Parts: sequence; structure tokens; C-alpha cells
Amino acid sequence: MKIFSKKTSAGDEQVLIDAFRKTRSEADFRRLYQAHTPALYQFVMRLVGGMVQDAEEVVQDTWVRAIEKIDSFRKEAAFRTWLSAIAVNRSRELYRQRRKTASQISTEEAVLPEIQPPVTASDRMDLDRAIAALSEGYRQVLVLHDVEGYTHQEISEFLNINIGTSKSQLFHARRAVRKYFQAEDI
Amino acid sequence: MQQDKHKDEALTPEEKAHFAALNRELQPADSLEEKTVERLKLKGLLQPATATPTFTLPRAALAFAASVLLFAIGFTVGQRQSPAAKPASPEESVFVLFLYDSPQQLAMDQSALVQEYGNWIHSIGSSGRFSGGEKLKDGGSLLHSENQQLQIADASQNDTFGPLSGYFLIEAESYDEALKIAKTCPHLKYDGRIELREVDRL
Repeated sequence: MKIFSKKTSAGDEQVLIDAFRKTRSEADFRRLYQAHTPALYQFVMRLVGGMVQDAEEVVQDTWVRAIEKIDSFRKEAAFRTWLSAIAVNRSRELYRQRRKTASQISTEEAVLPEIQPPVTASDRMDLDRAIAALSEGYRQVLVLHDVEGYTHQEISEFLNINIGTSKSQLFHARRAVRKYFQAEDI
Repeated sequence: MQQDKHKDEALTPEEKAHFAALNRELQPADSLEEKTVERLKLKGLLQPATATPTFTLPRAALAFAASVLLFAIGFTVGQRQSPAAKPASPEESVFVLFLYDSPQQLAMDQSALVQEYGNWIHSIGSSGRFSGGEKLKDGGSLLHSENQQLQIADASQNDTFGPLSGYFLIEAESYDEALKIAKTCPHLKYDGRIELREVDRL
């Protein structure tokens, strides 16, 4: 399920990174970008609940931060995991800024938002919509665990939460998604 | 106890199939790559594209276009400005607009400036007056000799005009016409300075 690795092997990945570190050229950056962005974009789109503008902002910020810190990237880590961690942090910052602006309460412990029940057969099958309707905290853990295949240990490091919280968030997130699908007697 | 309860909430095979069947075809827009590259350039995180000393005017125009992200505003210089990138005819002279940034410009949202400059290039390009240009990276050195000793200073410390940030090449039949064109450049709108000079064809 770790989709980054489908198109880019660890060897290819390291070649691209080493090439960019050496030249810092636009051409080498574009190769790195093109190898990783399709999967990164899908990941971020789900993380931000399908908001294209937010996803583009997070993807851009992720690359800027990644390139700023590329010398600190260690070979023993997967580049896609490293990028994902940056993307998760950036999307959390984005929501934090939004909440601050709108004076909203933190979603970390928030009750589930009202999820609109599906209206058509195709909507009922639309898992992406159910994921998008989750609160930020639940959505992040569900996407990281069930869509991207990360372990609770990895998620706890990404989100700086303990493993128990990660499991708890996943439990509630799955329950909310099931509720969404059961809303019309599916 | 709480953790055990959570363990019991594993996905069913059917649910796993739903997750596996999620749409993987979401593709980022091509413009996202250009925007990302532009941001990295503005931050000085990418080396400029390889340049050769024999840069021709059309290539200079294309290079500038890339640097200001004209793609983002929906056209390419190659397609729409190639007539403007021709060498100047004998009746036309080439003029250089040296652009010096104001503090106001340095603090502005670069993407908004990019769009505005792109529109201006397009407007003079469509009348066949645009020949090329380049955006310069920040920094640089100012070299001079003093008492036969080479002095090297930070060029960004030029406090007379502000930092030199780029240049445009335009074609015009006279200095007056070039001046008219220069007056329309959006660089002036934000207190930037333009030095207009005619190329002396020796």
C-alpha cells in the first residue's frame, strides 16, 4: 500500500537525491519532483480533505522545506517517508493557522463533525468523501494508517502523539467512516 | 482495556478492499511543478539553468519567461512572442532597461509581481518590441580598484538605487520611443528604478 515505492525503487530514489545534492540544478530537481509528486499529491489531497488549493499549497511548502533540509536527509530513511512527515507537519500548521484565524476549537479532541449521509449509490461508494468529512485528527491517522500503510509507531512519530492516541484516533475514525456507509443501510 | 477495544476494530476484508480501491489517479496540475520551481528559485535554492556565453536574444527571452513563470498566466513566450524576439532591424535600436528594486518590491508577494511583469512583457511583445531579459539572483559583488588594490564589495549594499534585480531588452526606433515603453513598465509602480540605456553597436 506504500504507493511511493511503486514507481521509484530505493536505488533510483537515492540516485535522484544524490544527483540533486551534487548539482542543485533545476533539471535534477524536476526529476526528483516528477518521481515523487504524484504520490505525494494524492497523499496530501486526502490529508486536507480534497481541497485542491490547500493540497497545492502543502505540496509546494513540502518541497521547499525538503530542499532546504535535503542535506540532513539520511540515507537509511525512505525519502517518501521523510517527505510525508514534512507534508503532515505542514498540513497541520495550515489547519492551525486556519483555526487561529477562525477562532475555532482544536479538532484534536473534538466530537465528530456532522457527516452528510450519502445521497446516491455512487456517493455511497465514495470512500474519499467519507474520509474528507472526518475531523482533521481522525483523518490524518486514518489516511496514514489505512491508506498509506504506516504503523502506529510511525504515525506517533509523524504527529508527535503517543501510540495509544494514534490507535484511539484510528478507532474513532473507522467508526465514523462505517457510520457514513451505514447511514443509508449499506 | 481501551487499547484492546481498539484492536478489535480491525478492518474487514471488504473494507480493506475499499481502501485498496481508492482512486490513485489524482494527478497534480502541471502548473504546480512550475510554481514549485519558481518558489525554489526565488529562495535561491536552485542553481539557474545552464547558460552559455552565446545567449541569443530569443533564448534570453525564453529564459526570462521561465524565470517569471509566464506559464502560470497561460501562454508561452515561444508561441506568442517569437515575432518580438527577432533581431532588431537596421532602423531599430536595442535598449536595455536595468531594473533596481525598491525595499517595497523586496517585501512584496513575488507571484503577484510575476503576473504583472508577465502581462507587461506580453503587451510589448505583441507590438514586436520585446527582445529578451533575465532576472538576476540576489547577491553579487562590486569590484573596483583603489590605489591599485582590488576591492570587492557586496553589490547588494548599493544604497543609491537598490539592488540590481534584472534587465529587459527592448527594440525601438528612437530613444524617445524606448522611454515611452520604459514608462509603462510595472517596475516603476512600486518605487523601483529603471536605468534606460541604448546599446552602442560598435
